Amino acid sequence: MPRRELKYPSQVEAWLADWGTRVQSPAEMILIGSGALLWHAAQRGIEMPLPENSMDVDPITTSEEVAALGYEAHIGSAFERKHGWHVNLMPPDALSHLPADWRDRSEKKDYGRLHVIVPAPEDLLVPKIARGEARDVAHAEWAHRLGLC
Amino acid sequence: MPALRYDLEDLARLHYGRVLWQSPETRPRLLYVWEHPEHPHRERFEENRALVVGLLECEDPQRYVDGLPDGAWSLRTLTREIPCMIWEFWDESAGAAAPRD
Repeated sequence: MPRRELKYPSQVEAWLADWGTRVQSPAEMILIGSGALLWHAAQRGIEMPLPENSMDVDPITTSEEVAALGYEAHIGSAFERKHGWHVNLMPPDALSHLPADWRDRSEKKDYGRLHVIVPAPEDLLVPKIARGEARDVAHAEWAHRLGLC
Repeated sequence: MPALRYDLEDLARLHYGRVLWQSPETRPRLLYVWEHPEHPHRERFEENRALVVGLLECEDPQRYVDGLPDGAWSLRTLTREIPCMIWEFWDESAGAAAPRD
């Protein structure tokens, strides 16, 4: 069973800072899902945990280096044993679930040579609200409560 | 963008298969997994190897599939010929696979 221990914004920030030290060539990653919501909270200095833990982060990349790092952080990996969650590489097509102009509202941050792009919270919530699952609803309420959107 | 809708797992298999195939460090590791004697899809991969490699190396997957003779394959069905990842074998490949020229 995959572990489900991703809940604090600082976990996402620490993960990206670590990968930023490992990436040797300029690389880009788009982060979506609950990990992206946690990222936004971290940027605002908020450390309130998610009401329901996540088991993974959902990055999208065309970088060989970043993809390889993602493959090393699979379910059952040493990464998951260490962190309590894993990396779930998503295809670029996952972005089709976001509003078409999501890039206009996205935020960006560099971690070493790793350039991270994160859709705005209100855009991240569109597919979550559409799914309507209990965890997604809880995450949406959390984001609203923290004033992320 | 693929012409047909199929699930994110298939799309990820195609996308990251293509990304990692490009790298001299990770291509041997993919092959280690796919050629592993205990991989349940190893034989099928060998049967369709040329087609799968073509899909991984082409510039446009949809155009590649559309150009195949007899309309025998769709992007969805050929994507599913990319063997699934078995993480235990992937982890083994770190020490076993050597980059090929």
